[in-house]
Amino acid sequence: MNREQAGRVLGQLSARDDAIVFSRDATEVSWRGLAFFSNYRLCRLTNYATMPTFTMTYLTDGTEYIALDGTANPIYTADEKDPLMLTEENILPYIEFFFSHVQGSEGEVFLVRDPHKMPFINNFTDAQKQSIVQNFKPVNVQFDAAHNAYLVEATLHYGGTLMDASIAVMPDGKISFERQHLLLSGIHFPDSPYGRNWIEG
Amino acid sequence: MLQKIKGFGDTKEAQKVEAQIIERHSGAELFAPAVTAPAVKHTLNVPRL
Amino acid sequence: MASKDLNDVLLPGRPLPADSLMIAKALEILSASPHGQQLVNFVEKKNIVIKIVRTPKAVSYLPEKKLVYIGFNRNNAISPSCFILMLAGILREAQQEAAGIEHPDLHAPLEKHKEISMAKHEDKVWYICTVATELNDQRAFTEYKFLDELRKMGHNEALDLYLLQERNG
Repeated sequence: MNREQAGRVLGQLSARDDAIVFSRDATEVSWRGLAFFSNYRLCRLTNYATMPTFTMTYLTDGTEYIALDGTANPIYTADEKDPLMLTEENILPYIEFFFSHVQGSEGEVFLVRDPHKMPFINNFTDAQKQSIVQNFKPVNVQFDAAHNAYLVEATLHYGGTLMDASIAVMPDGKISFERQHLLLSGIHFPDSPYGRNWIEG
Repeated sequence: MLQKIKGFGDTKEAQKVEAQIIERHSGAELFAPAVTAPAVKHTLNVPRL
Repeated sequence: MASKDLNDVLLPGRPLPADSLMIAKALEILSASPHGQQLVNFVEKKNIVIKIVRTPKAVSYLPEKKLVYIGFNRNNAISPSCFILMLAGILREAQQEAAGIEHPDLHAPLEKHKEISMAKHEDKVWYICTVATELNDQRAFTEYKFLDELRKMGHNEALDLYLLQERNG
């Protein structure tokens, strides 16, 4: 994407009825492809004219822009428009992408792949670290051929707790929790586990 | 016009705001002073997952 | 110990009153406080446009001098008191900008950014603390728990310092 294309993105977005205003002179436009989509990709706008900076992220096929608003709806809308290509290799990236953009009443969900590399691990006491490592259940991905769905067993951080959960991902991208079990409480992250990095895709 | 809160500069909130100020200031690298069109961060080389 | 329910995450967004109603009610409540009334007068006099948007996290945003946004997640809607205080804060910032007190140009030295943007933030927090205290003192708004909400919003230390400063005159 060159400067001209970035200007076009701002132009396309500003033409929408529900457009959020961004500075033409001080907005960074960046994008990233997502392996599970053919046509849609992530587009991030950050307005440096305001303090603090203001960021919105969209799913786009270059024509339509779907704002990611913290609920599952926009992702499901994109899933319908651009049928997903889920594989054993990209099922975890899809789940991580989903959780990094969808929140519940207790905040963000974070899938812990490795307890030693969990965000803010060094903020916890030695006893807490030990409990986290002991309670951690490794990620396990299975394909349920009968339902054409993936079943992912994983340790999740949500609302200051670690949970062992079974996540079903249907072929259309819909996610459901088949089972959830509390492993550990009092594990509060001081900030977002996702930071502002482009970990999404 | 601006009001003050005595001791505010020593709060954690002030530290957080300072971090936001530094982050915003880093945007100066993205936007050349004489250019009015938005700068663009290239991500073409980022591998797809 | 209550377990968190991950299904919270999958809700389609909770129903809320119309945006115009939420904004009108917030301005009505703000006008019950002397400093909030100044903000309401400012909105009317300067034709400030207030919009509500859907954003992943609660945020206020002032992209233009006469346009303010309050954004929040529909799965995790902010409380009415938080909405009112966020609105007070971003309107105070709009007032600053209208008075010519603007954030430095991006290419200004970092020290200038720290000096001006920090002073603007401190003033904004002072203003929110003042509005919250004025509303909290009124029996009609007891249930809104404005001071508790202010603490939850991350202004805990600032509120303590503000109350100490006000007490000492």
